[in-house]
Amino acid sequence: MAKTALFRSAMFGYHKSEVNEFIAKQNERNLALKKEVAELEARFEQYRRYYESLLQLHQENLAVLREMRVRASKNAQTVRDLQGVFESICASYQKLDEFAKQQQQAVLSAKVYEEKALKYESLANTMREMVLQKDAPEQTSGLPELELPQAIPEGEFDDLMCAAEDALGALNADASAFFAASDRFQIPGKPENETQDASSL
Amino acid sequence: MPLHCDLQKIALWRDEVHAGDRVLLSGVCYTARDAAHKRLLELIEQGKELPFCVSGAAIYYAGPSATPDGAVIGSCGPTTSSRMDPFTPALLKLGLACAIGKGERSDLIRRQMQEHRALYFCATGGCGALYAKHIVENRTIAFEDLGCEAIRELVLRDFPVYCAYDLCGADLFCKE
Repeated sequence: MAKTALFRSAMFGYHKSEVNEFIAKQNERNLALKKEVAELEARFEQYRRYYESLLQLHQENLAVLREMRVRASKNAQTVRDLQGVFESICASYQKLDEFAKQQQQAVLSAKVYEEKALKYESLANTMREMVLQKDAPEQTSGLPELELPQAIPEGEFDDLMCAAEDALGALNADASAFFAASDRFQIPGKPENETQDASSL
Repeated sequence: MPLHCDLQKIALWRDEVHAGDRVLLSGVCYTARDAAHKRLLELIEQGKELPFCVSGAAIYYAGPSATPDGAVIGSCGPTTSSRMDPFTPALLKLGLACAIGKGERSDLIRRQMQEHRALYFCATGGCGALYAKHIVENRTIAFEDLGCEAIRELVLRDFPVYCAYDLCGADLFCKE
């Protein structure tokens, strides 16, 4: 700037004092501008440091948030695992309910079999007595449902024996079926080791 | 390098901190937001005793979220400080030494803080999770019915903030 002023003064004939004044003013202005630039640079530097540290702070915050996300993810997995266990327990309870219903049905079936066996046993006893007391047919009058004749003819005795043996055979078969079935079920009130032999009938 | 400052010894270092400085605060401070400030002002007007000694104290404008199991406190980021401007002069008169919040404040508050030799620090918005990590103790001391706005006594350790208004009148937010 000063060189330009000197050149201009040489070309157009400015006075030296004017030139010096001009140069002094320019220098003063330059100094003021330099000072302003220095201040702006200082402020810029301050803001740069401020924003850099803000950035760092946000990065630290991000790290904390990532850590929290990992923890939340683990917690979510635990919850899912627990849900699986809970569902498994629910399924087991459902199965238990089904087993309880099946057991109840089995107990009812066993009772039916038991009643049937008692009926057969009673019938067999009656028939045994009838066979043994074939000479005293009047004593069978207590069994109206059989409608037996007062005296069994000699020829029909063998048939009656055969019928009795068939009835006993059928009874044994039914009783075997019952006890085979009852072995599979636990009847309430009946000791487990108390088994009956169908042949004992 | 950030400055490590003890809030209980603020008288010793408040002249040394300047606007723009990064400061790590440690020690006791109290949380208070709008509702708590309103009640504090009512107590002051009625001449009643305040839940904590304001003289020399630091107030953090924050309402932490619910505390998760096993943590000291929930996310605890700053709230906008300018909402507390109407209540601040009364607290400054009682000797409030320091406020921590977010954003600029009015010129009046900036001037009053300088007059009462109080510092204003800015915490960074959105960094609540990080700030929770720098709180080592948390106890509700008043206005529990306000929920997250209740006044809590916090113990900070290396709590990262920036000095926004210093005692020389410098302002981090100055745009001139």
